Amino acid sequence: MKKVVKCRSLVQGEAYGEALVSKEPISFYGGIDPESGRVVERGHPLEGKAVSGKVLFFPYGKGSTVGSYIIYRLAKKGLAPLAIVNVKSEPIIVIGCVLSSIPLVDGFPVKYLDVVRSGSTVRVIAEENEAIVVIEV
Amino acid sequence: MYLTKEEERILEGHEGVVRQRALEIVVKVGEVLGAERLIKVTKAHVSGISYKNIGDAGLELIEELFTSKGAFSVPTSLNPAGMDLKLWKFMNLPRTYVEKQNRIINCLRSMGAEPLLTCIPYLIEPPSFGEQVAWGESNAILYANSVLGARTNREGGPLALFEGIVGRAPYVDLRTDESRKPTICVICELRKDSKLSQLPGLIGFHIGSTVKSGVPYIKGVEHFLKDNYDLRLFLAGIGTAGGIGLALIDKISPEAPKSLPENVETVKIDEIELRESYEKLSIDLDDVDAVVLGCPHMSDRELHSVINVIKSKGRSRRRIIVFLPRSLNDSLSLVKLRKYNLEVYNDTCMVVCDLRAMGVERVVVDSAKAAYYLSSQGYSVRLMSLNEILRWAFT
Repeated sequence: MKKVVKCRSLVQGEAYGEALVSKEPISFYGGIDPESGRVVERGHPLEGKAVSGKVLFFPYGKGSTVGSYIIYRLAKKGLAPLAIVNVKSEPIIVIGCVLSSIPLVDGFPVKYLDVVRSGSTVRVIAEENEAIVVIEV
Repeated sequence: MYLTKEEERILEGHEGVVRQRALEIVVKVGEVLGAERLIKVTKAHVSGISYKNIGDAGLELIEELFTSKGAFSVPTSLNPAGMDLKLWKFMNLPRTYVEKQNRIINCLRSMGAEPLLTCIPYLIEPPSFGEQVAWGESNAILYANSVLGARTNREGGPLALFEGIVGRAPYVDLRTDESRKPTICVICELRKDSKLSQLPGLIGFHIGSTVKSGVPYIKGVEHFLKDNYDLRLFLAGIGTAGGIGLALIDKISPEAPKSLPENVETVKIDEIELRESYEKLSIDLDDVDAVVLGCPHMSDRELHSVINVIKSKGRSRRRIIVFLPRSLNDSLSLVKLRKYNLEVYNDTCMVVCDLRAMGVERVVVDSAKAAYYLSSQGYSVRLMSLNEILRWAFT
């Protein structure tokens, strides 16, 4: 069965792959190792997992604005997520994704963070005026 | 979002790939913040300059902007870097660090930035009342909005960089009249003879961590802000603890209301609460490696009053390190003060340089902002007032 969720398109693009889901916010600066793409924040639900090549779901970004540079660095090294899906994006994530051409959507309802699970197959289609996230459940 | 013809041209790439990408970022951030249009800014101040903070990721991005022919379109100044550009040898830094920090500065300078390398650009090139600027660096944002009546949001390092390139920012929040009205009233009930009243940074920090966001109207603090240095310590404290970009201070801020605003919540702060904030920032230290001053940067006048105290008493028993902007005082000419145990540095500050490499682990500071950031970097920190420090340094 497929679940289709309408979202707001912030950075256009398409992605198809495995979801990685965090119900906690993510700080790219200090929270993710730019050399490996792994979450290194102590006690974070995704600690030890790599964001690389995944469709990354989390509610919103937090922490230092240097986080934008970390997203860009991950992308240059081929370690970036395939796409990012937020409940509410904020400037750190927006800037990082525009710089790195990573598809970004927000407006993903917080209750669906329980429907999509790490390992689910998802498709993100972000077009000029609207975006959808398709979850295969 | 509404865009002008000129902005559409930029977005279509007619003015080069860097301006296109920069405007795309400014527009997207504006959409996320709910802006309906952009506004032209007259100047920018970019934070996130220190190699210690932004690392290889920041260096690579800035180099790419430079090699893609990026340039600032409005006068753009820079926050402190990770070292004194002339006295870095005294700072005991690795060669690669020095080389990479110089690359960051050189790229930004080639793009047209003025490397003031200070967090107090408002004392050097102050914007005027009502002027729209794009500033990063929380203490500078608070000073511009609250003391000068200029207008900027808390832009963050990378955003101010792109706003400086396109000369525009989202017209939203503190840029609009409606968002510059008080949302909460803070009454300071501290006694004038309280020891904590000598720590304006602590009062600011406490207000920042209590109020967290919005626009506080602050009453009863003017007695504790005897000069511009105190005012800067106070505002830096507010900016450290919360997301506040404008504080309307009674008898100081040009936009402060004449009477208590109606229909807003009032909070009072007293000695007991302030004591709790103090305990969070300061630990008892019997001995320290250095006294560190200049967060925010000192002015030349303030440095010279410190120098006069020290000279009148002879060589300080404690190592004293001071940071201030090069445009106000070239550190090279001050090297001779080392015989008084006084080290002066430009271009950098205690928060973004590497004090540890300079043999400093335990510090005394007069700034709540410095206490907060140095503690979070693992230093042992004691917070004292400048007068207290200048007495203590000789005992």
